[in-house]
Amino acid sequence: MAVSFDDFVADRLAPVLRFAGVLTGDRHLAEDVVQDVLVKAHRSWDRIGGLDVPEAYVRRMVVNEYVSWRRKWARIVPRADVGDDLDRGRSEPDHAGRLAERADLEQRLAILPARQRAVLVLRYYEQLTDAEIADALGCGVGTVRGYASRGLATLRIAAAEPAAPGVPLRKGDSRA
Amino acid sequence: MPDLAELVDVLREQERHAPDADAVRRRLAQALATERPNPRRWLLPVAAVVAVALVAVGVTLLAGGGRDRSTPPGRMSTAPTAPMSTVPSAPRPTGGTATAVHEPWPHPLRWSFAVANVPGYSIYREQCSPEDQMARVTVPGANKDIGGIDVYPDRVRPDDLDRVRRPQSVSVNGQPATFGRVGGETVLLWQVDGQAWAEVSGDWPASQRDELVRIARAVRPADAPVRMNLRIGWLPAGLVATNSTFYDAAHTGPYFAVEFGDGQAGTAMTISRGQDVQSSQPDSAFHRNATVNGRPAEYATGSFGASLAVRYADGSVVLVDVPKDHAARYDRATLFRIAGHLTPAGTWSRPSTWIPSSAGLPH
Repeated sequence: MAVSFDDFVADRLAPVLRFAGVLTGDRHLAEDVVQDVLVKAHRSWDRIGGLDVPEAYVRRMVVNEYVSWRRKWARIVPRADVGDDLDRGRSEPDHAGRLAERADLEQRLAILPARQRAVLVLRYYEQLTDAEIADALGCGVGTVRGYASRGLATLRIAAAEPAAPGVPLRKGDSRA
Repeated sequence: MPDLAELVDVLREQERHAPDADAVRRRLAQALATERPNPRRWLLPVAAVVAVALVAVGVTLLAGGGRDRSTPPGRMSTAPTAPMSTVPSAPRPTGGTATAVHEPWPHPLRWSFAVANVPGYSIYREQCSPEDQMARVTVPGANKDIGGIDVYPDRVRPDDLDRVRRPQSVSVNGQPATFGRVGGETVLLWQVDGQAWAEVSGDWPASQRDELVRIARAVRPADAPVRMNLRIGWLPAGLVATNSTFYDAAHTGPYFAVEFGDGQAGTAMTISRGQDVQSSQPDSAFHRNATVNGRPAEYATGSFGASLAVRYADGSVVLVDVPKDHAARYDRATLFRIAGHLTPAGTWSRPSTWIPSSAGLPH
């Protein structure tokens, strides 16, 4: 049964906004992105409202709107002094050291370019597969892996996760 | 050292700072109010649409044919008298929901602007696409970028001109300019030498208007090729370069990517060269299963499409990537042929040694 646009906004705006907030890391940007997306979605709601899960489609629109938001796109400048800070935090095993490490992680996350951040959020927060992320972003899985690797490298995260979503090939894929 | 669990923790923490839903509802209602026709006055918008359509048809006929330039949603709009390109249509990479096919600029891998040195800032040109060209503005030694410069194709009017809050009129190199806030950023919009629109935007406080003007004054028209760190010797017929991206990150080193379209929506192929960062990540290790000109390579196919990565002795990797929607047109043999005709150009980590796009793309 088709969901009306007004019902969708009434019921699903909050979770979509929460997702956008995590995706962008900037509540004001998230509000702008979601508003723009909903205006566009409204124009095509006859089609979107008839989908099985309109929210999934709207979230995908949010991702695309975010990564095409040029002013926030591709702002990666992980400077050496960030690393210095992180190194200092790493050498301190106490609570203050962990807090410093956490702050550094948040700082690095904030400066990731949109596509890298989107890939990491979709991978580790939304638990999407690389193929699903590639589908959402309209690129190949190789590109997704590149974004993920660069993002993790910038965050200096040891991605030693068994069977993590970033494994180059997944079930159903093949190396030829 | 942080791990993935901590990353997830940080992301979940950001849920607590959720955007203001009520504010979005109010703004959405305002935005839709301007879109929803009043049922009691339906004749007016219908008449307006018919009139505009008739005028558009007339303009098109007078112009000798052609089609409108597609615009990215919500970002910029085309003047009604936009010139008709004679370049064969090729797509701008689009997201999953976008299907518009964009026309490239006549020289998609040529910069149309340059930026003179601005004391206190480091500025480099980063993205060259049919939709806009972008430079990154950083503060040397700072932990983050402060902003960016967008330069739009001629006669494309940035939507931000209509979104500026509390606009102030200023001057940039004698040209009228608009300064204000859009979203959470400070912006300055002007026409470079009275021609193409440009925009400086970023995280400056509104009180630092002069800083944006100072950067804007350094932007000049130019015609220079994008520099590439690889030479592509062969490509299947029909592929047209539509976008290039240059990153310069301290931890991963410089990175260059060029995207190609083939007339269908979306990117048909991306070819990139950068540091072999993937092999440093346990979750995306390089799995050699082939060779290209004697170099280790990894070919993979699946639901995502197809990719071929070739590792070079200098620590760089060249990646040929085809998304699933285009994979049927570019088979394994094609990717290997492309990779076999790829050669590194210059030192991958030193952009000053890279070659111009005129030498890097096949003729």
